[in-house]
Amino acid sequence: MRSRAEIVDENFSKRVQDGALPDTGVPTDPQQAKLFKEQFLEIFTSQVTSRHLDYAARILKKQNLSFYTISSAGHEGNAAVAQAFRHSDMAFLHYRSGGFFVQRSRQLPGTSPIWDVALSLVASADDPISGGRHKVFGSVDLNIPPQTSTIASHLPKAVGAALSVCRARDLGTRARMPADSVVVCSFGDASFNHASAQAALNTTSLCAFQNLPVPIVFLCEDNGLGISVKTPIGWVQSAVQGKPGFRYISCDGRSLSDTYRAAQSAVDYCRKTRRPVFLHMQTVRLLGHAGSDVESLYHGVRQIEAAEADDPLLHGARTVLENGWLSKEGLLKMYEDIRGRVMRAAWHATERPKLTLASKVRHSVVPIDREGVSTTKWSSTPCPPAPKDTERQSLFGGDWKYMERSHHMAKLLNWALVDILARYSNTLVFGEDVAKKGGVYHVTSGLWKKFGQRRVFNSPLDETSILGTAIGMAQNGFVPIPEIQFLAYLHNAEDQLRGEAATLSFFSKGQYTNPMVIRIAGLAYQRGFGGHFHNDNSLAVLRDIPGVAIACPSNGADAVKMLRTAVRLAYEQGRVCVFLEPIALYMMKDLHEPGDGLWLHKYPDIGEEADMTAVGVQQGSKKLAIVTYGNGVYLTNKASSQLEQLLGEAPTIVDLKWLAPVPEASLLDALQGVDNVLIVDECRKTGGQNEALMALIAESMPEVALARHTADDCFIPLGAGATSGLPSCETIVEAASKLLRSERVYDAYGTVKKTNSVSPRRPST
Amino acid sequence: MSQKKTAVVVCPGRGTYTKKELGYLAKYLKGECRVDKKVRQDIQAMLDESDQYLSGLAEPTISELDNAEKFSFRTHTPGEYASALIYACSAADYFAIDRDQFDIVAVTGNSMGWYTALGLAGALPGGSAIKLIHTMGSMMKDDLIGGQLIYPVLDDDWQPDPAREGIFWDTVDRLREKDGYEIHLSIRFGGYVILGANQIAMKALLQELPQIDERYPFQLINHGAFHTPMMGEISKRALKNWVPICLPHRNYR
Repeated sequence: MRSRAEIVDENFSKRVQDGALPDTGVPTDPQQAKLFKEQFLEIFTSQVTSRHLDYAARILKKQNLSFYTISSAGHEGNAAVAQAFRHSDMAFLHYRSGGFFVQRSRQLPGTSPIWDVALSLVASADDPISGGRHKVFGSVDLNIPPQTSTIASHLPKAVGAALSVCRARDLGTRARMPADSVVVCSFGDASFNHASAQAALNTTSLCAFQNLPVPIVFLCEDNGLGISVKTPIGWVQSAVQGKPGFRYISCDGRSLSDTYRAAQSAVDYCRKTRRPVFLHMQTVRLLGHAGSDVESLYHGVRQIEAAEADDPLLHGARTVLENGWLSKEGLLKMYEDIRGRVMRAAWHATERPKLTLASKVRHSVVPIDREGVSTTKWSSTPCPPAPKDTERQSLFGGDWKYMERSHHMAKLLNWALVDILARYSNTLVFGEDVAKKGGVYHVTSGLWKKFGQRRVFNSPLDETSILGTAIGMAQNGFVPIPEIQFLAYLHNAEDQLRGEAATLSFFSKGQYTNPMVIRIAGLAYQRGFGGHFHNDNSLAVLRDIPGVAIACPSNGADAVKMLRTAVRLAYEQGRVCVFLEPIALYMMKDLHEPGDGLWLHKYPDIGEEADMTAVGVQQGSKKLAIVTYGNGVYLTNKASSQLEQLLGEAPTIVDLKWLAPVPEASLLDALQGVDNVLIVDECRKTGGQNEALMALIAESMPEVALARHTADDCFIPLGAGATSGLPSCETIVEAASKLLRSERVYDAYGTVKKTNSVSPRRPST
Repeated sequence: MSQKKTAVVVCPGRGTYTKKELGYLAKYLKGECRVDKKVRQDIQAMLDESDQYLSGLAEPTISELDNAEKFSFRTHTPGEYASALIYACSAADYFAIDRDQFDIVAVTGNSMGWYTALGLAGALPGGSAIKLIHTMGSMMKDDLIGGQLIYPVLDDDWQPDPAREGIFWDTVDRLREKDGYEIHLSIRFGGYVILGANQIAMKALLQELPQIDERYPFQLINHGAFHTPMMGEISKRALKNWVPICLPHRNYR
C-alpha cells in the first residue's frame, strides 16, 4: 500500500500535469504583496526543498536510517514568513519550520540548509547545530537557537529575547542581536493552549500594555489539529484578539503571496513600533502528525484527501503557471531536480559518523566543554576587573563605614550583589518585589536605586515568565540574576530550567548558552511561619538536571564568596547556576545564646571567591564526621557542646556548600580516617541529598560506619509543628549517639555489613 | 532518480592558463582530444561568439591568444586576456563532459570562476558570458588596486598548523596597526590564506612573513586586492551593470 507521503508526492506531479490545481479564494496576486517573480520563485523553491526533506526523512526511516519524521508538510507557508525577516532577527522555531529554515539560509551566503537538515535527520555527529543530539532547526549564523520543545515552552524565552533587544541598546550591552531587531517565535494552534504559551502571551501583553518595547512576532501556524484533537474553528482568533497591546494579523498559509503580505506587514509594524504582533497563519497538515501517526484512525479518507488537495505547493504551482513564470515541464523538472539534490544529500548524510560514545554525547552538557568556542564570544570573555574602592565607596554610601563589622547573611548578600552589578555591566536583577521593596527578605534592598530600573526590576507574578525572561535575555548577551521568591514557587516553572535553560548548551553543541544565576530563597525552619509553600525542603527537582550547578551556603561569608563564583561561572563559561539561600539563616545572628553574634560574618574581601570543587571542613574528631549543608551546618554547630560531651572532642563538620556537582573528591578527602559518618539532611528522606551521599560514601569508603538523619517525607505545617519533622540539635545528637553506640558487623572483606538506620525518635507531640 | 553518476563542476580562477596550457583549445578543435563532433561544434560556436565580441573591441581574440607560437607574459597574463582564455578553456572542458555518464547537478567556481559558473549554469542571457568575464577582467586594467598574496597555513602533512597560522595572523595584525597599511582577508583557499593588501602593506608582508618552501609568501602577479573591501567601488559599478541581466531559474523555463 502506498503511504500518504507517496500519494501527496505523486499528486503534485499529476495535478500540475493535469492542471488540476486548487484555488484558495483569497487574493493571491504576488504583485499586490510586492513579490516579484524571482522572489516568488525563490520562496517557492524553498517550500519544495522543505517538502523533499520531509519525504527524505520518511524514506530513510523505512530503512532505520533516520530518526525523526515530524514534518513541515502543509506548513511551508512559513518560508514566506522567513522572507519578511532579517537573518539577524532571532528565530525560535517549532518543528514544522523546514520552509522557514531553508528560506532564511538564502540570506546568508555559504549556508547549506539541505545538507544540515539531512545530517540532523540521521543524527550524525557532523550535524552543525546539535552534533547529532537531536533533530532540530538551528543555526548560530542564522540566529536560530535550536528548540527541542515544541509544546510552547520556547515561547517565554522568546519574550525574554524580545525584551532584551531595547534593554541592550539602552544599557550599551554587547548583544547578539542588532538594536532594531525583532524576534520571531512559531508554534502550533494546539500548543497555543499550553500554560507556557499563555504565560508568554500574557507577559507580552502586560509589557506592551505598559508601553514597554516588546518587539516580537508570534507566528501561530494553525492547522486546526493537535495530533488528533481538533481546534475549534475561530478559537485562536477569539482568544487572542482581545489581548491588550497586541496587533492581530491573519493570513492564508496556503497562499505564498498572502502569507508574505501579512508577514511583511507584521514585521514592518513590529520593527517600527517595537510592539508585539500575533501573526495567525491558517494552514493544513499533511502526512499526519508524524511518521508513526496513522491519521486514518481518526480521520476519514475524504477528510485526508481534502487537506491533500489543499497542499500549499499546489497553490504555489498555480501562481507560477498562471503568471507564465515557468512552463509545466519546467516546474516539474525543478521539482524533480530538487528531489535529486535532497536525496543525494540524504544518502550521503547516512554515511557520515554518528555520535555514539557516551563521553562525546555528554560533551556539551556543560558549556565549558563546548566545541567551537569562537561562536560564543560574548560568554567566553574573561571577567571584568573588580570595581575600584572609590567607585565602591560611592555605591555603598553610608554602608561603607560598616563594612569591617560583622553582619548577617541577607546584608552580606546584598553587598555582594552591589559589587557584582558594579563589576559585570551585563548583569540584571529581577523577580517579584526585588526593586523598590528590595525583596521579601531585603536581599536586593537599594539595588534599584543604585543601578536603575533597567537593571533591577520587578517582574509579574509568574515564575515561568521570570525564568523565560532570564533565558531569552541571556541568549542576547546578558547574565541575568533572577530571583524566585520561594523554593516552592519554582515548581510551577521548573520546565523552563529543566527542559529549556539546562538543555540549550547540550542541544547546540555548546554553541548557544544562557548563562544565569537563579537566586532562590528556600528551605525550612522559619519558626512556624509560612507553612509548606514558604518552607519547602525539597531539592529533588533540581538535583538531577545535568550541568546545573547548585550552591547552598550556610553562612554569610560563604554566601558572598559562592555567589561571586556562581556569577563568574555564568559569565565566563555560560553556565546555569542555582543559588539556594536558606531563608532561616538570612537574619541569623546568634549561635548558642542570644547576643553571642557567632553567626555574623565580615564581608569577604572583593577578591575572595569559593572553589566549587571544595567542601568546607571544620576539622575535629576522627571518631565522627557530620556531613551536612545549609541549616544543617548551623544546627550541628549549635549542638557542638553536646556532641563534644559525647565524643570528648568536637566532631568534624563537613559543609557540602555545592549540592551539584557534589565536590566528591574533596568530600572523600575530608572523611579520610574517620570511623563514623552521619549525614544530616534538612530535606526529605526520599529524593534528598542524603541518598546520593549515602551511596557515594558507601561505595567509596566501605569501612566507614554510616548513617543518615533526614527530614520526614512530609510537608511543612504552620505553627508549633513546623519543625517537628526536621532535624534539630537534639535529634542530631541523638542520631550521632546512636551511630556511635551501634554494633558493627563486618563481612569477610572488611566491609561494614550492618548500617545504622536513621532518624532518632522524635517527640510524639 | 537518475542512475548516472552526478558531478559538480568547479570552474577555475585566474592563474590557471600558463605556458603549459598554450594551445589548450586547439587540442579540442584539432581532434587531439577525443570528443564528439557535437562537442567540437559547441566549442567552436562558443569561440566564434567570443572572438567576434573581442574583435569588436579591437582586442586580441581568444583563438589568436591560444594559437600564439609562444606564451607571452605581456599578452597572456593581463586580466582581460587571461580571463577570456580561462573562461573559454573552462567552457570547452564543460562541453566535453559526457552527459550520458554524468548528471551535472551544480556548477560553482572560485574567483573569476564564479562568472564562468554563471555563464555555464545558463544564468546569463546568450552571448553575455564572455561580455561579463571580459568586463570584469578589464575593469582594473588601467589601475590595479593593491595586490594579492598567498600563504599556506598547513604543515608539511597538509594538516592545519595552528602555530604557523598564529604567527601569520600576528604578523598581519601587527602590520595592520601601522598608518597607511591596509590588509584584508581575501580568500580561505583550501589550506592557504589569500590576503588583499595595498602596495606598502604588501611589501612589508613579503618581507616579514616567515619564508616557507622558498616560495611563500607569494604575490600573485597582475592580481589586485580581489574580494576585499578595497574593491568596493568596482564591485558597485559591476553590480549596477550586471545584476538586472542575471536569470535565476532560467533552466526551468
